[in-house]
Amino acid sequence: MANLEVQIGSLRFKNPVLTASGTFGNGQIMNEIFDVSVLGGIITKSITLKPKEGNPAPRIVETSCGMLNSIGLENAGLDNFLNNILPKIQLLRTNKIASIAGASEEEYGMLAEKLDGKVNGLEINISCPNVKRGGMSFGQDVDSVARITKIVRRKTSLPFIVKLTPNVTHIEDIAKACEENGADAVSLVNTYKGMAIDVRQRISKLGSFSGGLSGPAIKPLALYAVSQVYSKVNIPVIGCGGIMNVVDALEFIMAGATLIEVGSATFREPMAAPKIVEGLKLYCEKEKIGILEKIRGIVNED
Amino acid sequence: MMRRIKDFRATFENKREIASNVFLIEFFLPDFDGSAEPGQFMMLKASSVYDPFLRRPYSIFDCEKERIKVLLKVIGPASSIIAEKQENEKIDILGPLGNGFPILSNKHSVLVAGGIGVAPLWFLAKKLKAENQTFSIIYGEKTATDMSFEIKETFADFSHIVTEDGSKGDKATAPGILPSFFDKLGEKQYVLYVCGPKAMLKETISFGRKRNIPVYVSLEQRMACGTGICFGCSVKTARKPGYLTICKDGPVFSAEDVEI
Repeated sequence: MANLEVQIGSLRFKNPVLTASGTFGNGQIMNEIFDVSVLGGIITKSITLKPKEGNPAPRIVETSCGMLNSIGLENAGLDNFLNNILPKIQLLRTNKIASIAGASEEEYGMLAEKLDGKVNGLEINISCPNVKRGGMSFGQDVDSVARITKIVRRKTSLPFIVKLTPNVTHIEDIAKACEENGADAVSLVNTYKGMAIDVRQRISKLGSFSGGLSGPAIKPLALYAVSQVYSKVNIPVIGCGGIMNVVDALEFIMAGATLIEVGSATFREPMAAPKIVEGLKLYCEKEKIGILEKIRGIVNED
Repeated sequence: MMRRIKDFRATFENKREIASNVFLIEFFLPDFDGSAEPGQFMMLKASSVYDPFLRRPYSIFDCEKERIKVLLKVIGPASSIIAEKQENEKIDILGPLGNGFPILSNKHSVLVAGGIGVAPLWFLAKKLKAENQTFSIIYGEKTATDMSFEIKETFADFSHIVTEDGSKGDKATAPGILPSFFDKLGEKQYVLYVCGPKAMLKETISFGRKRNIPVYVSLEQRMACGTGICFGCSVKTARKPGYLTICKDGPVFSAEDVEI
């Protein structure tokens, strides 16, 4: 029997399959479709300090082998999460990782502090616009990422992951800054910035002009980013971007990922994540691999 | 934990062309217990390759144990792929999803359907008929298709057909005849259910407001998940700031709850 257990800091996962923030709700709805306790963990929809309305419709548009989204972080805010959502998801027997999104660097600290001890871990969504810097995302500025990581480290004892935006020149430098400032892991990639135009109406197909591209269309890009980051940092790397099935998951593990996140695949295949868990078990048995570490990062440039 | 929503490995059974490029398609869903409410929908995966990537939502036109029917209009690659499937071909179908129409049994229900918007209302009419409720279905389309004839045949005296070109029934639009239609029905307690183009929803809602009749609308929007996890299919709330999801909070809403 293969052992799929992995660890981030002190946090143990029964298997390396997580569900990406924003693609799994908060777990309760999906638990009506399958038993989410079979997963390594779930990452909540991003939580902001104050409630956020989100962006005008249309918020999604399908593109070749993928989709663009501009949901705009719609959520009912931290207090609602603590009072109404958390008590319900406590019952799910898997790791609950809260994704947090700040409007300022300080807000990340406040969110981390208020969630300390309440969930199993945090994922820091740094792909939100930094209003002070003209809307460029925090994650595109290495100094800002370093500061946010440091603040969060100071405010929480929970293990935390920083989710990296791929819309940068050297993603490995950003990952390094996370490691140096106390992050327990990095996850990558978040969506690639993109757009689609309605030629007939001469307008953007999204209500808020641009959006984030996800799905199989971005898998080769994401895989390469994981490979680059894996070669530069020693903390666990969580691979994400277009993972649809166990073969995709294995590619990310071979590129260096310790865990993987299943994202927009769930929209198309609600059972994608549990099927990947099963697939990894079968693969390990068939290949006679006791633990996945044996193949982690096995395909590299060196 | 009751698992109500299921991903069925369904089989394409047959299709019938109802109008130009509009098909009534029947699927076999193994283990489907047949319980779904009128207004609920299913997410159909057009292809096993990743393009088109997302599933497409279709209202349930009719269902029974292990069988489901949807009304599909070919408008793009995904609907075209589904329509061109062969008998016995497999297709993944997720559902039933969303909330159905509330049935107010002390009122006379008036169903206002436009074009393929008839799908959830056909199912509702069938249920009202089976429960011996009093109801009327007003069906409007541009020019008469087989659907007009089927409605007349199935719902007989309960149905009223209109066409924009007068090829069958009154030359009118469905919401356009509401004032005279209600005058003929006389004084009763009513509820309106509407599904169709946006202009039709608006006209029906404004009629309902004038006559103080509650209106329920079935809305559509591009969807990614269909289950309420992605927040992609939003509609503005009317009572307070913010949005509701069409897939999870709807697709049926009280007209007073949403901005249309």
